[in-house]
Amino acid sequence: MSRKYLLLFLALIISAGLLLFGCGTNQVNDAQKQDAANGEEQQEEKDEEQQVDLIKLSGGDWGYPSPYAHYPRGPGTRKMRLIFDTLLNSDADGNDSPRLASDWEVSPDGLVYTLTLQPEAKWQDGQQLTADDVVFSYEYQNQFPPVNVADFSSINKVETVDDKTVKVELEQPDPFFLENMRSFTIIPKHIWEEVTDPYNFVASEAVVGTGPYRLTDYSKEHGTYRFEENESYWGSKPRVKAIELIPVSEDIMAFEQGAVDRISATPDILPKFENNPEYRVMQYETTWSYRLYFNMNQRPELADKTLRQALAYAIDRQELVDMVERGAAVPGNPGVLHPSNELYNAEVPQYTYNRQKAEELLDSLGYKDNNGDGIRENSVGEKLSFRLLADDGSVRIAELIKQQLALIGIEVNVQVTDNMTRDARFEEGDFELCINGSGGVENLSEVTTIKEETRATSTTADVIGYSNPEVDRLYSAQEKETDLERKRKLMEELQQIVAEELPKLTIYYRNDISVHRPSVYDGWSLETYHNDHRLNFVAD
Amino acid sequence: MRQKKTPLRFLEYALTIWIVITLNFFLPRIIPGDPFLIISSDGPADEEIVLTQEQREFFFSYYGLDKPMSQQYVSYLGELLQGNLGYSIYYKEQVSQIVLRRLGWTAFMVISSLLLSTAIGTILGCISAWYREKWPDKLLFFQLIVLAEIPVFLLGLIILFIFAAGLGLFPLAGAITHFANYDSWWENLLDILHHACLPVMALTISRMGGMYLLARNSMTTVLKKDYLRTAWAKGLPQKRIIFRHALRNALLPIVTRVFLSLGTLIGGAILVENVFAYPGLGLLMREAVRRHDYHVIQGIFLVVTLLVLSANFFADIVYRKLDPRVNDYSKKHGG
Repeated sequence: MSRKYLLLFLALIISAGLLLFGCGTNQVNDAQKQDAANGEEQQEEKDEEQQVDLIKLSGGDWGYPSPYAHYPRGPGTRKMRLIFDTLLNSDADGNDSPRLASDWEVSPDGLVYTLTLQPEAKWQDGQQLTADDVVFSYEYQNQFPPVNVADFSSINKVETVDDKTVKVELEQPDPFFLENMRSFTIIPKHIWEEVTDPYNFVASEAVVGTGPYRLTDYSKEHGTYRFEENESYWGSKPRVKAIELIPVSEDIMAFEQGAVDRISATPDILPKFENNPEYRVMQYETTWSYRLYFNMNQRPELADKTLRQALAYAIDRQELVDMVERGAAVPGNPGVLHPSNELYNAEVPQYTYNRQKAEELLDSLGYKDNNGDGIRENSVGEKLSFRLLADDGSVRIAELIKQQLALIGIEVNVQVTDNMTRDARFEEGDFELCINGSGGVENLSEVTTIKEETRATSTTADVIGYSNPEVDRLYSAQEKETDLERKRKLMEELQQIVAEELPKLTIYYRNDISVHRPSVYDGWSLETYHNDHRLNFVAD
Repeated sequence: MRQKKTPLRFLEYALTIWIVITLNFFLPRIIPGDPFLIISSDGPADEEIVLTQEQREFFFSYYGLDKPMSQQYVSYLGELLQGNLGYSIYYKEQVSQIVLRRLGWTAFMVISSLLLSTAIGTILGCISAWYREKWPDKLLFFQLIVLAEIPVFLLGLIILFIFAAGLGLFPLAGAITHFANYDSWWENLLDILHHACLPVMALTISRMGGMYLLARNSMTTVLKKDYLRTAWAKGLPQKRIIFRHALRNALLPIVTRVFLSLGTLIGGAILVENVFAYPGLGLLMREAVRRHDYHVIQGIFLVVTLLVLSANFFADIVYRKLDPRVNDYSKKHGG
């Protein structure tokens, strides 16, 4: 009897929850585009506006925001970046733009870079920033890699020319040199030269930088931060005087109660905030994607591109976007790059959902269902069946793919692990099919067999068993190419081959949605979806 | 008799601790993946920082993870004997400091809810036993069983939803008001209590059912005893009969249960802390496991083990104190 009532009680709670969260999502996209457009207008107006006193954001502990003591995840780095500057930065189009280096020159042979520092730049303890600090930062970080590392592998020597000029000599020309300098954090020599164990250095001097904000309060235990405007900042005046980050249990509730001023949202809760002048919804397309990997060593039949193409035709990426992300995603491009990428080639084969086509391809490979159990067999009677490795975050995608492939007679057994285990098995090649998700890079290097030791990072896993010398050639050629038109040509060709051969299949790129109260602060950047990114508070 | 058994008992505890330490050491390391392996991330808002192979190797040797497992184990035991719990890879701090700071909050929550759930559960159990099979008993029984069946994190969410989000009576998360300046220590204390109300409430309600059932059963048995009929016949007031005469004798299993339930309570606390973003050990444990931060995992589990073992130890002593028959029994059969 008690069990019956319990079920009734639970059902009541669940339905109440559903009612509260609402279900309609259809108008999401249009409304957001509209919102984004409005945002742009308001953004311009807002630049004229005066400073906002305080912004509250959802926090949580991401470590002490020194270059060495924050945690190895984005939120930690972004907090550190409120305090510390890099030499260069990227503008909205991804080009190099000045930060601590106001100007730079390259020698004709591409081997020597001369960088001029901002004349006004000062450390938060009042000392001047000098070229010595840059040289010291390089040497120190070469010895002790900070959490967020810059790639120094092409650098031969860094030396001072005068107080505000630095000369960098490279071993060989490196088209990525300036881009790498975007993650090179400059630290004050007068503080760090005494420090022998930077990973344990959490004194208040450890957070003296040249950036727009100072850290005035931090609690590791509670996960709170308070940043205040650095009055002596060399760049443009911050639009927000103080930023407070506090832990919240439920983002939406905290936002509705005004405990925080902006949240990341899921499509399900949007109806609550849309068409309400009190709130503004912003949707960002991101290059963060889920990808399907084939292990051609464990399952040699996957090395046949026709089979991979059949899978691509049978996996309805639009349906996955609609069902898993409620439409807040962009279906994957078989050519890997996000459609918003300036090098994107729209002409590549798209493999729009086509069950018949998929079945024809399987037929042509000789996979037939001879015993009538709904699963195709090969010529020797082995079932066409795969194990699909996924983590708990991608399990819904995996289950839908299983259903979609069942329709064309392919059996899929989904294996779910935690994401660290999935990653470890992925790296070891212990899978047949695997869904993996990450952002930051639209990694075409994964499909090559080129691995420069120094560049090899743990995100770039090889696509196992795939090797195409032409792909390798095009990839390295475009990597070295500095002329944009020629680079585009190479990339288009590369994408064409990759889309044709499908060494991996991009499932979809996830969008990020956030909601804020324009009456509190409306300066949120359209370029970055991260609440705590400095671009939201400083024009730079 | 008991003195003779104590060294043996001590050995038993020491052995248990050693086994736990060993399991804590090897289990996280057997799980695939290491603290520096980063291939995927959870979503756009939460991207990870990627290390080059070189840097990964640097950190492996910095934290001594490049040495053979047996060597790491021996040096871990050596460090432990010196009271050193190790250094957190992810949090970049001494594990003992991290754990110590968090332990207070968890202990505060667990002990408060233990006291409350015991008191309320026992009183309700007595009432129920007194009105056995009548409507107050039926009503209480049904309601408490339903409450006890709800998983504690769901209970926490419901409470959060109603009292914090809906009615706005309590804060949504955390253990204190951040960036606040208090005029006096009691304002500070009030703030802490205010924040603790909901998590403690969730944990208390989820434990109450068990206590209630135990008290109800125990009381029912006692109420059937002859000496209560005597008390009744003497015309003593009802309250006095229940709480003086009957409860005293029904208390024994309840007290034991209080100590023995510490282990499961800590389990519940972990879930509740995650719901309310309460800065205790539970919140830390979830993150440490996710990050494969070996030293922190070891530290937390060791501390929790020690707590549970000491609770068992005390339960043992109290049980012997309260019920001399336990001793008589072991005298007869143990010796």
